[in-house]
Amino acid sequence: MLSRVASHTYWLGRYLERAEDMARTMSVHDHMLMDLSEADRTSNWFQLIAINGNEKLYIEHNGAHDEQSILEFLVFSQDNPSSLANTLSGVRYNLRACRSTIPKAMYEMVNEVCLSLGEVSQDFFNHGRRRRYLRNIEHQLLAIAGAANGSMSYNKAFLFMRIGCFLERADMTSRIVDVRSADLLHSQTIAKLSAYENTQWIAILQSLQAYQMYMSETRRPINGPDVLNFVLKNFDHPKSFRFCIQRLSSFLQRMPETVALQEQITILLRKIDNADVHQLAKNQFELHQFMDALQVELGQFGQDFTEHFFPASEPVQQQSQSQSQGQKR
Amino acid sequence: MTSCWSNYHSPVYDELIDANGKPRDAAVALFNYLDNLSNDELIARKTAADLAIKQMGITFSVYSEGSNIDREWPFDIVPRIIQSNEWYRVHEGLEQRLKALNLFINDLYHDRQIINDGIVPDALFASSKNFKEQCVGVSPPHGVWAHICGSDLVRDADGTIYVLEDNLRVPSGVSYMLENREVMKRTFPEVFQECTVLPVNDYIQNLQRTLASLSENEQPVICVLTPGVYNSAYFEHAFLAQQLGAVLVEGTDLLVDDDNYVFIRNVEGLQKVDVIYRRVDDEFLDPEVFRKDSILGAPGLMRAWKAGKVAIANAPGAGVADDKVVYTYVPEIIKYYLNEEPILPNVPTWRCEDKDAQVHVLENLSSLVVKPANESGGYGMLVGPHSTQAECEQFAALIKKDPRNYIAQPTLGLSTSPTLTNQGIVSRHIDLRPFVLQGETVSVTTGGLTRVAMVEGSLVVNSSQGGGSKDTWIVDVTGRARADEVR
Repeated sequence: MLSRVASHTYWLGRYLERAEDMARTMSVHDHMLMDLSEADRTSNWFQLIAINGNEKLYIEHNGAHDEQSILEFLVFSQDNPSSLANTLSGVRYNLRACRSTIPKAMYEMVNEVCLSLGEVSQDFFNHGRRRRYLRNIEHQLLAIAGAANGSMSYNKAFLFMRIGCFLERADMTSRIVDVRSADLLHSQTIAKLSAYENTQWIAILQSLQAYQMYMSETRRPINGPDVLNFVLKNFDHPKSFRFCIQRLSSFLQRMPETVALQEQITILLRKIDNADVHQLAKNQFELHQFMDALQVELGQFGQDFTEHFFPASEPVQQQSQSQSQGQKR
Repeated sequence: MTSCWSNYHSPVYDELIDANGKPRDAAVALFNYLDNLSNDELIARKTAADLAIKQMGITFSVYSEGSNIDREWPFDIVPRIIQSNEWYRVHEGLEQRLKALNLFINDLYHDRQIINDGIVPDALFASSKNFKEQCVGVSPPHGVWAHICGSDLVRDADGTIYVLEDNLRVPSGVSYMLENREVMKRTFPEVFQECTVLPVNDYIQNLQRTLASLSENEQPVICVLTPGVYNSAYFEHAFLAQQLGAVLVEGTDLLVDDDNYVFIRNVEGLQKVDVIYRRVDDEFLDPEVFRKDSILGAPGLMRAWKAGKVAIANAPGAGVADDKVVYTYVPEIIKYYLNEEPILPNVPTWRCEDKDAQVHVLENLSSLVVKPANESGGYGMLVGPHSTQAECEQFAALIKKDPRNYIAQPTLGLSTSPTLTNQGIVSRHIDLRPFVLQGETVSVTTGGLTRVAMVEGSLVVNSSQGGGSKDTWIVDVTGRARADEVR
């Protein structure tokens, strides 16, 4: 397989996953805020910016913390390299370049998703329509993942695409854990109602759509250590950080000359396995540092991976967050 | 465009609109929001809500409907609103009530002090269908028998909230409460922006905590025992199992061994069960002890429960307090066990077995509501003002034949709430079923399931009899939480 085509397939996998994660994070966020008091609702929109890792850029760009400005930046902004609009054009750009390797039906489905954003525009600020749009886009992207699994040979192109997908997903899980573990409730009185107990841990599970599976596996009410254990260390849940890294490991084993890369993965796995979730759940700062370290290593892995397999492609513009890496045009 | 409120009128107390046609404090945001919607937009939302209910698969089953057993859940898109500070008092009253009822049930199956002290008559239990001899002397964890209680509340014309009945056997409806909120969030996301609606989804965590507190195992295996897919509440059984992370089982999935342990039959082999949240009536629970022909339960369950090897919620025999004659004694029961005044009043009730009361009831049948002591689902009752002469005579005969089995209450002017119908937004009568949990601790749902009689003037809210439901909002208007609500 051509290195150039492999690179596009890899980025296609990343962008598709990013678009799906973004759509889901936004609709979960919308849904979650409806349960909070007025004051807490307005103060929490900025979390979405933090999850997407562009606090700094946003502050330079606009900085307003209201719903409309933040959604505008996350969905439509051309200045934000990881806006949904730019993510979808990233999907399209890479899709064209690896068209020959992608099953035709899947190609059409991807194309359709990319076109759908053009149809929403200002409608997006209408709550009801936004909900329907985000739901549709998420469903379409899930269908695309299904089409890839069901109709593509498990060949090199498939491996590159899946590596992109799991790398992106691991990154997203780590960001969600980092950002969502912060206390959502600022009005202290209402925060003490039993109805708001553990809101931030529930928010992590909901953002990763892991609530139901958590309940059946953990058999305990939602609490910090169990949630961290589930989303960081679980072996079977596809959004768990460990699961994603484990998948990367098994994909790498099927590729040539990946000993050094595999070593990096092993170190990451060890780090997760050794993490003390009780300590991390107690101490927000330690958790933040830990997640930060995971993200740095994941970013390094992503960089080494692309340099190893796609050495000829133009250098990826280095940004502070691996998410905003490489628009690749 | 005329306001959707311009012709609104309630014959009684209305939950959202006061006597001057102004919205109550907690309802102002909703009132204004609906006022700004065109009729078409309102109908579009109704259609969207109906579609959401179909997509989400929220159903209930009606017996004797031939092959079409599942119906979509009937839902009204206008929520019922209660202000948080009023709710906190109701919440306290419900906690008080369930604590007292559990002390009462535990006493009945042990020393019977309340009978010895002459507060309630012994004869009541000799004649009770739901008193189970087989449960005498058993001590379930925390001394709690009724872990999940659904109490029906109604508001009379003067604004007083009364407890109409306590459902302590297998009360249902909580899944609809939770799903109604989901549907509302999908249908009216904007309204949630305008006010602080307290969330309801902590119920699942509280239920998990309550059930888990019945086992010593820190991560207990919990089962929801359902009569099966044809039961009217099967949707709820499946929903709760899914949310709790419990195993949904039918009787035939369970096995009790000679050492009185309960197991489920898994593909990997047998797995020990710690807690059974049963949605099967006592009579069908264990053919070794109760009905021999039952295939809905499992042989040996009672042995296992008595030996303390498995916890059953609600405990067998808990239904003894779910009797409309026992209900009439609840205020005394609260005073006797807790030495407190009841926070929530009972509806004034005549026990037909008392001679004087019976005379009064028979003379005034046409203005009273008569209920059998042990039925649920709104079956077998007489609503005097809405009945024919023949129906009244039929009930007079029934009461004379079996007075112990009947109680009578005045026809309350059940409060109304705005409801969307073909004629626009009109007033319809409603009630409220909150759910109260008791295990190691006690908790109450934030609000509950509001049921609405969809037919004009009708007081029958049961879904099996054509009633609908609404989302129930506890709205915080003060921004201040009550001190003892704080954990």
